[in-house]
Amino acid sequence: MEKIIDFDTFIANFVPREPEYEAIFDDSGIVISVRPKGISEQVKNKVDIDLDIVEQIHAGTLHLHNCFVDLDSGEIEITRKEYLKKIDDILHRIPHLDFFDKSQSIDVKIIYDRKKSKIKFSMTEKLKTKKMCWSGDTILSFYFTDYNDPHVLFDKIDITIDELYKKDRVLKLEIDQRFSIYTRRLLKNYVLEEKNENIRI
Amino acid sequence: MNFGYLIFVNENEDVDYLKLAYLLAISIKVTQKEGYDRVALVTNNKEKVSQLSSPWVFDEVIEFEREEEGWNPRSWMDRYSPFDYTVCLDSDMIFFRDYSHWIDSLIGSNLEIFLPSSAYTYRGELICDDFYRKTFTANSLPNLYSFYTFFKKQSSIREEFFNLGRWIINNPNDFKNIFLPKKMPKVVGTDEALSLSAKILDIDKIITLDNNLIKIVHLKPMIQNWPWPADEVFDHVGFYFNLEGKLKIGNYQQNQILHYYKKDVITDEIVSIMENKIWKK
Repeated sequence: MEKIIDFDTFIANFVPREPEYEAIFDDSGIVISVRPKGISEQVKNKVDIDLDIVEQIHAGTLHLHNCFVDLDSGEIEITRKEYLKKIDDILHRIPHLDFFDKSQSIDVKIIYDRKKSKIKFSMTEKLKTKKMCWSGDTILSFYFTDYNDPHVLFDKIDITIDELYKKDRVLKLEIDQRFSIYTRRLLKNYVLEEKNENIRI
Repeated sequence: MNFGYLIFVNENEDVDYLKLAYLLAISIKVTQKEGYDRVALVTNNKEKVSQLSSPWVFDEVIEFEREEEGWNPRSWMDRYSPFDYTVCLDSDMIFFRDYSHWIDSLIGSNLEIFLPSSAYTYRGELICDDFYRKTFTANSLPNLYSFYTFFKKQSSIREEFFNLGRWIINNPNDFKNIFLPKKMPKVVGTDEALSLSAKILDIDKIITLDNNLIKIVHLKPMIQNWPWPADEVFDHVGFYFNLEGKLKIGNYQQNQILHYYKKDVITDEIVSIMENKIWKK
């Protein structure tokens, strides 16, 4: 039997549903449209998108072509011009593998072999497959300093992003004590691994 | 002379205060000379202390049985101290050199209680800004810092001073309305309570020293005499703790006791560096 709802009660208790949206993207991850959720099940490449991002797109403060989907995590990423503001961005100490948060992905790995006095810089394949734009002649500067003290500089190595993208760089480096590496944090996660390390903390 | 440092730890889910107290105790053992390096810990979780690598850095571990929140246990410092002469410290502090002459000076001056009335930036400048102390300025409270509280057990004013401080902490509204009507604080903390206690007892002039001997660096961001506002000190300057247990903040070598305030700056790496220092001593 049909239940008659009292309109006044209904309107008093009515809570409007929070609108939900989804982003449609192409096979490379570029977002091509945003629409209310659940319009059609036919599209495969879709992902939920936060209301505040939708509002920014609607208001014109964020352009659709700045949005893409990280195909690994399935999350919406927004490209922005990055400014290095914090001291940790300008002078970032590259953490040792032992102290690196393993839940994070590594972008650049540095391996120092003390016995052979060789240092290897490599960009991880995961970073190489990301849709990123950079000026190829951007220089990554690595400062080799006293342990956790960038005021005492031992050596400096410059590598362009293009060089690192094309192949790993292996260089000669002799430092006979514990050291730290500092860099401008142009990429998110760097990590240092030491081999044949007999000088521990 | 039976002198020692006293540290309170009230277990908290957000911050591992025992780790901070442990680092502080190690830094005391590493830097202070014999007779000035004793440390007592007052904690509500004694069991956790035994899980530390070197629990022996605490000469005494005392159980705190009372139900007190946040930093309120510290107001009981005079009752829990096992020493004749005590300096009660905040757990988020660290020592870098020998400060035993400070203690000699405090005891030699026949002070029964001492609280610093000034603090310094990491560059060694006197902090002039009252950004976090509007209540003090507006209500003419003596500008006392409880992060370094010295007291003598055999003292006539000690008991009165701390009893009144505790009473203020436990009955804040009775005192806020009368003594702190302007820029009224939401919470009356140990600093406010002990400063108000000193003001009511009219002892604020006799529990401080004007000789600028005792210098504590206070790292709250808005009082670093910077010409810009800051949410975090370490967004602007680096924290460089080397293998010798020496610290540079930005370009400045730290030599005074540091109240670093930002707890997550103390990493396991720093603790392990200091553990190595104490093991090699």
